[in-house]
Amino acid sequence: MEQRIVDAFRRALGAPCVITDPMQLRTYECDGLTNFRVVPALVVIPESAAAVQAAVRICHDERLPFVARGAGTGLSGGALPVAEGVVISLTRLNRILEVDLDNECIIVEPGVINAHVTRHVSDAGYFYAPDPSSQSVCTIGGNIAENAGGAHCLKYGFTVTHVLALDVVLPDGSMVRLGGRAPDRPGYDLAGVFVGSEGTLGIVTRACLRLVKRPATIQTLLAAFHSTDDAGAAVGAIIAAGVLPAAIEIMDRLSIVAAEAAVHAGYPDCGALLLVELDGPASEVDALMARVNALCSACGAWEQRLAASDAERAVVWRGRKAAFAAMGRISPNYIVQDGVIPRTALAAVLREIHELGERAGLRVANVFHAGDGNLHPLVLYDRKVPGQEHAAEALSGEILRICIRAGGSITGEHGVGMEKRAFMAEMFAEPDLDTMQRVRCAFDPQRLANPDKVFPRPRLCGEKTGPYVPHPLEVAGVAEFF
Amino acid sequence: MTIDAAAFAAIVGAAHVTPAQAADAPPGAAPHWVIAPGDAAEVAAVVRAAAAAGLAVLPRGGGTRRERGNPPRRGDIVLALHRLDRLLEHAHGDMTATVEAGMPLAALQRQLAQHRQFVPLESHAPERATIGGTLATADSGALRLRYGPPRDLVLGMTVVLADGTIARSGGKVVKNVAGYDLPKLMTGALGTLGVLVSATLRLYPLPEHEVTIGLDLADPAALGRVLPALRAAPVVPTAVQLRLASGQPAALDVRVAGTPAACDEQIAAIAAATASAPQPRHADVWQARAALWHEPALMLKCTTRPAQLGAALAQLAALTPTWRAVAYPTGIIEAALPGSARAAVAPLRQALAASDGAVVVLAGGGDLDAWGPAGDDFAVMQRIKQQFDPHGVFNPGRYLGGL
Repeated sequence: MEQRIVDAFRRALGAPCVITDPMQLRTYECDGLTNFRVVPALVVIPESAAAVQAAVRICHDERLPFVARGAGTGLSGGALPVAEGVVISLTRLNRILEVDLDNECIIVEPGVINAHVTRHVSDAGYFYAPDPSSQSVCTIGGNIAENAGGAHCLKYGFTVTHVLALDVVLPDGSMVRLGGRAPDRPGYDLAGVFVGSEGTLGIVTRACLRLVKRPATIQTLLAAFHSTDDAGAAVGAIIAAGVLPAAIEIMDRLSIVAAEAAVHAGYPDCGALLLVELDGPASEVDALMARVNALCSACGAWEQRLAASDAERAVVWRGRKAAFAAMGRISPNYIVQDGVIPRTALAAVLREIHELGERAGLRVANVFHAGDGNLHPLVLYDRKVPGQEHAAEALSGEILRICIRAGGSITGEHGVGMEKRAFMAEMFAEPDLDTMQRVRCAFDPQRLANPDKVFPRPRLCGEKTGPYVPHPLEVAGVAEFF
Repeated sequence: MTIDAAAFAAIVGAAHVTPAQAADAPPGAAPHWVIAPGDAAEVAAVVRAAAAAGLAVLPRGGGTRRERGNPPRRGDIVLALHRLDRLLEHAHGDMTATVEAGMPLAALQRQLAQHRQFVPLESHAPERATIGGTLATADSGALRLRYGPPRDLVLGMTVVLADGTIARSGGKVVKNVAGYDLPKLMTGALGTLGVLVSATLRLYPLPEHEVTIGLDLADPAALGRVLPALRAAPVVPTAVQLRLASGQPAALDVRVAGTPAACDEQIAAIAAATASAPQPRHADVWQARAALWHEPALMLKCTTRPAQLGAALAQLAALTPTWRAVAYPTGIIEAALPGSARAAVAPLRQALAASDGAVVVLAGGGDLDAWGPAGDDFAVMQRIKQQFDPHGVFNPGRYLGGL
C-alpha cells in the first residue's frame, strides 16, 4: 500500500491504531474458517465511531476495499481480508453505552461480546436472546453482520428479531441511523435488510438491542434414544402437540462421544441425545414437560433426565455448545456445515448424509437445532491422508445440495461468506440474485464493503437491466414449483 | 391517456379487465382499468406491458387500506390481486404455509385452523384484507407483543418487480440467512418496490385454552403504574390492548393462554403485580380496533418508545377534544379522530419525535402528508427505489417523502 495512504490512516486514527507489520497482519489472515487465508495490506483498529467513519472515508476516497471484523469467530469466511484492502477491526468499540429497562433495550458498540450483554442485565431479570455457540467470545457487530442465531432462536428469533436501531457507516463514509427505538419508523425497513448482510452494506458503530425478560421457570430435559430417527420422531411429535420449546437439539452418537471426551457433561451413552428446554410460567412448564416426557417415551426414549437448577442446565449446555470444538478429540480435522431443511425431512436427510459418508469413506457427526431443521453436520477427515481433504470438501458440498433439494437453505446462521458463494447460484435463480444485488447497489455502488462475499458474481450497479428473461419458476409453471 | 385494454385482455382474459370505479383506487387517483391477473406469470406480464407503455400501476388487495399513504402522482391501472387467492401449501408438520398474496386473512386462518395452527397477522377487516395488503402495510395489533411484527413472520416471498422480473427471496424454512433478507425490505413498503405474489409464512399452534381478563383504569395516572407492573410480572400474555376514549376511563385487556392451570396462575400473577383485581372480559373486546374503523373522519397511527405510551396518549388527549383509540404496549396507538383534529397532527408529530415516535395518517388526512418527516437514511431509501423501480411504475409518490 502506498505510504501516503498509510500516513492518511495514521493521521486520521493515530499511529497505534494502524497495523502495517507483516507479522502482525498475519493475525488477521482468516476467521473461524481457517482454510481460506489472505493477508490484508493494512489493519486499522479504530477507537470511536468517528474513527470508523474516518477510516471508511479514506477507503472510499482511495477506492480501497475494506472488510469489517469482530472477534473473527465466523465460520463462513465472511471476515476473510482482501489482499490489497484494509481490515477494520471493531474490537475496541466495546462499550455498553446505555441500559434502558423501561423500554427493554440496551445500546452497545459493535465490539461488545455477546455474552456480556446478558451478563450486564441478568441481575435485573433480563437476557439477550440470540446465543450462538461462540457467545463467550463473538461480538455483537459480527452477530449483526451474520444474523446470528443459536439454540434458542426457535422460540425467541434471530439477531434481526432483536435489533431495534443501528448507527451505520455507509461505504461512502456517511453515517446514518436505521430503525428506531419506537416501532415502525415510516419508510423502508433498512435495519431489517442490513442485519445479515455480512458486512457488504456498511459497518455498524452502535446498536440498540431488544432485551427479553427472563422466564419464570426454565427446565432442560435430556432424553436418550437408540437412534437419531427415534429422536427426530420425538421432535416431530412434540411440535405436532403444539409445544414450542425454547430450544430443541439433537446430538448423534459421534458428537456425544466427542463432547464427553472434551467437557465430561455426563451425557448418557446412547445412539442419539435429545435436549429439550421449556421456559415460561411455572405451571405451564410443568404441564408441558410432563407431555414432552410422555411423547419421548412413546418414541423410544430409554432414559430421561431433568436438569432443573441453573448449575445442572449449565453442564448440559456446556457439552452441546462445545460440540464443534470437541471434534478435535476424535478427528484431526473437520468441516462444519450449516444447512437447513424442513424439519419433517429430517430422518430422510440424515439417512442420505449417512450413506454419502459411507460411500466417501468419511465419518459425519451430526449436531443440530432440530426444532428449526438447522443441521450442523461435521465432516471428519485427516489432512495428512492424501485426497481426504478434497473428499471432505466434496462431501460437505453434497450435503448442502441435499438441503437445497429438500426445500431448505445452504445456511441457517453461519452466513454465505466466502465458503458458500457458489452454492447461492444453486439455491437461487439468476433473477433472484440480481434482485438482491440491487440492494447492494443502493448501499455500496462501488463494491468496497467486503467485496467478493455472498454473491457468486457481482452485478455492475450502473448496468442497464438486460432484456427480459423468464424466471425458471415461470418456465416451469409457478404452481408446479410449490 | 389512451390505454390499450385489449393488450391486457390478451394476458388475463377480457373478463378480467374492467373499468375502474372510484372505490378501486386511493383518493386522488383516477385509474382507467382494473386488471386482475390469475397467477404470478400473468402479474409479471401485466406489469411488463404497463411499464413498456409508461403506465403507473396501483396494486390492490382487498381494498381495506386504499387510503394509506399520499395520493399517488399517477395511477393508470389498478392491479387487482384477488384472483391469486390460493393456499399453495400448508406444511403443518413444519408449521409453515405458502399462500398467494390475494388470499383474505380470515380465509387463510380458517384453513390453518384445520390443523390447529394460525398466523399471527392482524387486520381491522380480516374477511377482506389480504395477505399481500397486510404485509405491504405491515399493520399489526394486539398479538405483536407476543409474536413480533409482520416482517418476523415472513420466511420467503415471491415478488414481481417493475420490469416484470419475478424474484424469489428467503425460503420455506424457518431459519435461513442465505443472501439479503428482501422480505424485510418488501414488508411495509406499500407495494412501491414490487408486487407481492406469494409468501411463505411462519405459523404458530392455536392455544388450547385462552382467557381474557381486564382492568378498568379510572385514573389516567394508573397507566404509568400498571403497564410497567404488567411488563415485569412473570407472565407471557398472547395479547394486550388499551381501549381509550375522551372523557372515559381507560380499559386494559389482557389475554393469557396455556393449560387452564397456567392461565389461572398467570391471572393471579397479574393481580399481584398490578395490585388489582382483574375482571373476566368477553372475547369481543378484541374487536375494539375494528370498531374504530367504523367511518372515522381521521385515522392516525402514533408510535412512541413503549415506556412513553402514557405520555403519548396524554399528548393526543391534549390536542383534540374528542377521540377514541386502541393502544398497544409495543408503543403503537391507533386513533380515530374528528376531521377538525387534522390541525393537531403537526404538533403531535413534533411532540412524539422526542421519543423516536411518528404520526402516520391511515385514512382521512386530506391535504396532510401521510408520513411526516424522513430521517437521515432517506437518501438510501431513494437509491433503493431507484434500483427497484427507476421509472416509478408502482404507486408513484404514495410512500414516504414522495417515493
